Amino acid sequence: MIGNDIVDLAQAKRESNWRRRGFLDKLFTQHEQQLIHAASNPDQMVWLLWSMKESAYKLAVQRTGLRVFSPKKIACSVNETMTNTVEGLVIYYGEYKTISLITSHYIASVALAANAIPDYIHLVIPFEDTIYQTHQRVIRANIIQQCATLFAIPEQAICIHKNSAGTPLLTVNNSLKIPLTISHHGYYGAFAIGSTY
Amino acid sequence: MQTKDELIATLKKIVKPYIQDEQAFENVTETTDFINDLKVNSANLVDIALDVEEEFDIEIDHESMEHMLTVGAAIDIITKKLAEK
Repeated sequence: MIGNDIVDLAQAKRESNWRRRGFLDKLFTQHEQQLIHAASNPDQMVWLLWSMKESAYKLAVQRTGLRVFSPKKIACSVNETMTNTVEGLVIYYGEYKTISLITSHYIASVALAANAIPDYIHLVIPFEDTIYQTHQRVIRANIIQQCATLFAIPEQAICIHKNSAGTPLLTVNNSLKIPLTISHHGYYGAFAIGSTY
Repeated sequence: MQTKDELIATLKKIVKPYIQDEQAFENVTETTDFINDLKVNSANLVDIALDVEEEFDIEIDHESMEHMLTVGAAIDIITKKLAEK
């Protein structure tokens, strides 16, 4: 199983004022708030932590079926920071490791079970507009194309559906199930597919 | 004390800036889901909670916020918190 999340940083700036009174305290643990206040780029830290939480939450929902909004119970720590990549650990009904890509335009995180081997394809797709319906179409076309290349199978054999919990499923010839996770925000979409099945 | 219909109207006013699906917003019912139906960004759920706190002068604790995923659930929480005042 796999979870992901993308934050369009310009969109986040328009949509959310994280400096608003009470905002950080409703979303972030004490430790996370310290990370934000100590960060040289607090905006980036806010959305990095948020995308880590979201990606781990998506994975947890697949495992537990539990849909609640309790961001403060999803506890993040940052393990290793490289130039454009941050590795983190998230605890929420289990332990997850996260790998986040950071650019000046977006932050894209992928979450895996803490003991899983990171074997996945993660792609970020820039959109030309912010129309939700167009995004879904463009992302799906990209996923099918990637998957066909990755597994050397015809595109017609690949099908994307959603289960009742809203989790996307990728199937090949109606039988093989491949882990898939999709996210979009603002002018960016992202997906991750497990590259072994 | 506002009636349920008045509460829904006030809540709709609060939620409006954050929704991304106008059609679903026009047809709001108690089962309308903020994220799945109205396409509210999950980070903005916090803004909705904070706006609700300010509008009704109540405090939405973390346990209450956990379940604030639908219009109906939000109305129940607001009603309960107003009664406790």
